[in-house]
Amino acid sequence: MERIQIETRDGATAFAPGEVVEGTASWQLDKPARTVELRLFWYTQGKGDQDVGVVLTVPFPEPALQDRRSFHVVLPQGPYSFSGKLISLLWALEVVAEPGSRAGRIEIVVSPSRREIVLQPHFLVV
Amino acid sequence: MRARDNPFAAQCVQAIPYRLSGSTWEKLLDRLAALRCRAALVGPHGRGKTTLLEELARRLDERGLRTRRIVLREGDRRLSGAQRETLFRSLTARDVLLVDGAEQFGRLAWLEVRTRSRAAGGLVITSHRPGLLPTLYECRTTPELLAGIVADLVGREEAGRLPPAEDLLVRHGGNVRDALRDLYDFCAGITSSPAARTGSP
Amino acid sequence: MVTQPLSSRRGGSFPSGCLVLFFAVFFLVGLAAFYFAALRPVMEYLASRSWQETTCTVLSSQVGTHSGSESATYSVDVVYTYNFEGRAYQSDRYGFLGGSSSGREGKEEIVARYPPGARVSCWVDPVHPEQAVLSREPSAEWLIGLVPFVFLLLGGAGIVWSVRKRWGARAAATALPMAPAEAFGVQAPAVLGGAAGGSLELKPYATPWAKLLGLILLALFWNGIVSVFVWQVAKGWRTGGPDGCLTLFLIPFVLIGLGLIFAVGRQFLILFNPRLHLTLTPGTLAAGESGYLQWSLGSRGGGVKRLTIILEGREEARYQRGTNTYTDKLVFATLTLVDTGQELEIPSGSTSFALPADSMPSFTAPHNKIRWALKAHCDIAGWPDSDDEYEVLVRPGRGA
Repeated sequence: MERIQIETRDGATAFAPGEVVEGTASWQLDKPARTVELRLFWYTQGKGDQDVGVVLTVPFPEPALQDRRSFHVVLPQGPYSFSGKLISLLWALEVVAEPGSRAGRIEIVVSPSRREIVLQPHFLVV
Repeated sequence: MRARDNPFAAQCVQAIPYRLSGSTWEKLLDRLAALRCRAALVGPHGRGKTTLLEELARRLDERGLRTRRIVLREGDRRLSGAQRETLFRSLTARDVLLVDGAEQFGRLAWLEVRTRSRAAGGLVITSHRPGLLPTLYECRTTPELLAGIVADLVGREEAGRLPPAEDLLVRHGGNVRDALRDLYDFCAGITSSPAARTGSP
Repeated sequence: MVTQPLSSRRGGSFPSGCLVLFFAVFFLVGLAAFYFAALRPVMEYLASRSWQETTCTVLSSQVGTHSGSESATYSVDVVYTYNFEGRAYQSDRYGFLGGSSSGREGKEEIVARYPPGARVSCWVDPVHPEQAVLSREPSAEWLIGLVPFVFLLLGGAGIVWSVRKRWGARAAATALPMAPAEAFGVQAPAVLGGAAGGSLELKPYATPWAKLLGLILLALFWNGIVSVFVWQVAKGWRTGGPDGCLTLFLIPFVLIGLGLIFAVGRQFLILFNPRLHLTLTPGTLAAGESGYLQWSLGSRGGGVKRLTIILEGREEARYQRGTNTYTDKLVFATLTLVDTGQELEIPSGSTSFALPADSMPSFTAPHNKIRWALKAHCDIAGWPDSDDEYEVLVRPGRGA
């Protein structure tokens, strides 16, 4: 059975903007892949149509059927992970093998507090 | 409830496959072949025509055909340059053209599509009204259909706690899409007001 | 386990096609009709200031009847001869606006002034003596030339709007992937003096004049079309052949038209409202940091009884399915910066405030946005209130 996995160092999944994310990508494929690459991207979920922003792509040259590669990426300054009632923005690392569009993905949080920003209705009077 | 947890988020709803009523995919594809692959999916707003077209595209791709799809928006009376390129470049008999929203076309634009698509293996459109091409399938909605979609999204037990499908369909004039968006608001705890939404239905 | 890649989905496709052709038809038709119905008669009228008055003899005169699909129209048909520089000419032109129109009585009055055999004055073009008219003066009928002007304006405005919408959508789509300085998909506005932390004079989304123009165009367009049917219905009632069904059918359309006229009047009054000038320092706010807002109502601020300015953060989610587009908005943060009824505080003032540290910065993607805006409300006694909205950019805090 095919398998594509991503593991971050120490299993960390929450980061601040600008931090370095290190880890390893491993895969076991039934059919050879011409390309395997790691993608860092954000995407939205909610009531609106989905937006996707691929921030960075790291190719793994000459991928074998079964392989393990390390990666080291620097997170951008934004956007932050957040959730409101209409929109959630999530970050993820994904390894994609082509042809066949086979992928493995892990979700991460990117924000100054290393926690998803929750848009809760609030009222303030100055 | 956070947007990402809402079972009626756009991405979850769009992932629901189309449920044929009174037919099977085998029969539908046979009928399409009998119509020489030139046919229309008809129905008013929010009846699932786009979803059905997407599912049809997937099945045609599985059968070794190559689908090329464009989506027309409100007011698109003719093809743009990019759309012409998508539809008509190097057409072969293996290509099936899919036009979502063909009722938007003006007469000349529709004539252009019909003429230039002759080289393709097929042309399937969605339209609010019949008449442009032979009807392959008429998209209709029923309370049972909506109830089934809701159950797929949230499970039967949770579905029982939501507003009844029949009431929703009546309120939205049979428009399943609007009914599902209403359920999104219900789960999110949003009281929708006319000022909170703008749209071009 | 293996799934389909999410990162391959192409988010951010902007709307295809445009409405330019649709509005161009309005524009071109309006342009042609405006030229013949208004511009050309006016140009000829101005040129006729140099024409010479000459005596002419009326050969025949009558009211011409022209049958249309709905009803007949009438014209002044007068034929006359005149001599100019030793040569005889004949003309049948009464004025500069030709054609026919409704209103038989007016035409009969004109024809009565030109009985056959009468010797009357006419105006001759000395450069082209074959061109002559009996009357140079403009008449109330020339106002008909304003009708195509509405189509001209509507078509032109529609073209501009369609092109700008397409540019805007294209700009939004090309926000992905984002440059480091635009991590949140928004571009910082130019601030006064170009200095970081400098002040910014805020501009409202839509000026009162823009709102008034939009309402006028809409009211003219709507009432222009509805008035044709109202005219038919009124004529029916006048001539004893009323159409009750059409009358009832028209009622909601007439009510909407009246509502639009009321809205135009209201917006016209708002033009005289005091203008609120807002200056924000720094020009872009930052989460967890202070901001300073100055306001000024100018010399007409005395009429304002209460001033409210709030800073609002909202989610905007756009959803397209089939040919329809919906945008849902939801406010998640409301900060009341100014709420005063004090006479001394209203005309001008300032306030400091701080955005909570966990405020979500402004974010723009093709279908999903986080937007911040200042909403100002001026409560004016006995007069329409003013409501304006000013977009504000919130960037990540320095601590981020």
